[in-house]
Amino acid sequence: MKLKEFSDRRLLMLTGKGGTGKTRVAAALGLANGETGKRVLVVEVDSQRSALAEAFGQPLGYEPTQINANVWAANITFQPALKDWLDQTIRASRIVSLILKNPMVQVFLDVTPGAREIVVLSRIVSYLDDFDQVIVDLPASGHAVGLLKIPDTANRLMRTGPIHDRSGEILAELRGPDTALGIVALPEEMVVNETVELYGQLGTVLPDLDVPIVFLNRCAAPTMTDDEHKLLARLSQHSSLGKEAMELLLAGRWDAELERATADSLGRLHSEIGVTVVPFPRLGVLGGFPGGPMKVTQQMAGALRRRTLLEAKKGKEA
Amino acid sequence: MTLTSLLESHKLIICVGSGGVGKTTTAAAIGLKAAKQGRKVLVLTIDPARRLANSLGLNQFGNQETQIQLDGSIPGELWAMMLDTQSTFDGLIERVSPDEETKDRIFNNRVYRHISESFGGSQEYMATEQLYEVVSSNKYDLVVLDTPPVKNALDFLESPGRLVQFLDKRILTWFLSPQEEKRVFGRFFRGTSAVVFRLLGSIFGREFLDELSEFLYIFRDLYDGFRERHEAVIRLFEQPTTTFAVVCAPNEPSVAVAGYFLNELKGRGMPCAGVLVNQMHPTLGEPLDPASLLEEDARRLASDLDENTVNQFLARLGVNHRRLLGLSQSEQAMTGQLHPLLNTEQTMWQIPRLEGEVHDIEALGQIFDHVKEVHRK
Repeated sequence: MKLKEFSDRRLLMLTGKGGTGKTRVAAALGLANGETGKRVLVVEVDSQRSALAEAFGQPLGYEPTQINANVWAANITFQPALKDWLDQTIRASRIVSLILKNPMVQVFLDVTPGAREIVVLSRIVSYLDDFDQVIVDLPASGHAVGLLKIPDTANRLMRTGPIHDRSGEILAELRGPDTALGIVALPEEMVVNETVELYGQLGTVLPDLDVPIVFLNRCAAPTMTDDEHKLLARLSQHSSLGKEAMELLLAGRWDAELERATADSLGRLHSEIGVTVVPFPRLGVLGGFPGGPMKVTQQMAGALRRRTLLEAKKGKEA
Repeated sequence: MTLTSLLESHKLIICVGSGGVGKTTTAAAIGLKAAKQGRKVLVLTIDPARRLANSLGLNQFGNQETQIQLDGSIPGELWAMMLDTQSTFDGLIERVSPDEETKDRIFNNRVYRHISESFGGSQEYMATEQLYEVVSSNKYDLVVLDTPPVKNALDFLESPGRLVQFLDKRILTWFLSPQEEKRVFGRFFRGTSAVVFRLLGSIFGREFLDELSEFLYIFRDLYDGFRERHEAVIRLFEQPTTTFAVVCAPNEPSVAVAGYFLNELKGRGMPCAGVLVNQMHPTLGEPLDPASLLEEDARRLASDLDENTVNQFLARLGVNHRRLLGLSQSEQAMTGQLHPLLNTEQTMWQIPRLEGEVHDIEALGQIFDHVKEVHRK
């Protein structure tokens, strides 16, 4: 699937192994898609520490915060989502506040399997009515699988009532043609292993959920020639070099390794799961992240725009 | 404190940190180092076990304690085990059930099946449950726990609380009437409770509430067992031979989470040895000139290669090195942010990145070879 086609879906979700930069990809997708004129909301799922706030370089709360002309961001936490849920389901504010104040009900909602998650997911899905696109920064792989399992579980566990109905609606949305999930990965062997594993798990848990794209962060395009590789190997075996020369060679080997790992990872992702891979170059690594974290998000959004342009150009040529 | 004395003086080390920072590999490396110091060690990990298996050079291992083959010269033993939430949960029910009938009723209850499968935090709860089992068996000199990658909080410390809270007698009595045994929802409630109860019914469906009430009814007698276990686990965490170790990688989000963990542990009065910063890029800290340092040797070794190779290569090394230097400087600056959060007894261990990935015992054994200890200034 082309990135353009993915970006045109109304509900986008991102997950991946921890530390792969999925939050940043979610934020960058938001910026890139917002530029096409869509009104986009990027959300994070029930975080106590907002990572999305960092990616956008400003504090976020439950209510959508405007990032630029077309992009909003929010952290959908449980308590306010519960209030919204009850307001919609019960429609009598006196009773809603009664319920919210009752400590037993709090415990009940806290511990009933899936209740908390359904309430949060429900709020997220209902934002599709207010925005052209909703991008969800899901938790890391295993926890995301657990979360995506819940609508089905709750739908079967509660056989009647609003939770049953709503979880059915959420499930239909997840399985629908306007939804897609992207996995974020890094060009590292273990991360690719987990990506392949995660892809398989998602296929088991939600076979109808479309998972057409892997975003591969921090890629190094192979630019080193074979002769350079040979020279690097020969110099590295050279025993009489000083500490400084050794450090230069170490830097060279690290980059060579990254080029190799990038090529390997791209190859494995193509052959083992066969989805589209969207690579991001390494960004902001020369002397840290000048301009702050938002700058990196903007650079990544730029990479997404270039990719889409390239796709369009290729399409025309073909 | 040196890593050696840390591993010598503790019986339980709990590794916490966000995902993707090499926590599992670090836990395995701690285990291997302790085995080299002559201790009998168990490394306990949570699904996916593939990560730990990978770093131990194995394809896979299960939820049984498995001994890892080590070089004959290593005096200690290294064992590894994966936690399986479902079977641990079932095992727990078997242990705390007073009789066969109670046990079967629980196993057949739909709510139980769903709770044990998808209860938020059940993985974390089961981690502590299994942990208690192996630590109190006294089979090992040291147990290293690799906790699930939660960035939000020390979930596994809270989850036992949540589960026990679920089974709290006050809540049970709220749901269950003393007169009648089950299917009594709402009948005896007056005023507020009755209204709230009817609403819960209309939200969750009566049928579910009935099943839940049966579940709670059966669980009524297990409450004490659960609470005792939970208290025992908390006592275990408070032992002087237990310590937490925060693991992080030198990047902004991970360092922020590490800071959060340090504060949380402090706030809860839990012992914490310090922070292990993984995968640091080590440098001499100065820009280097490839031409003056390497050109002569490069020319000599490149006589059979394309004529542009040397120039191109030296220019590339310059770029590579500037990038490395930049990275290393920003990593130092970032980890420096953690210094003020450490107390005088805590240590920061900076672990240099290895060349290549760690997926065999040999590489695992090299992780701490060049570890640098940093103390609060």
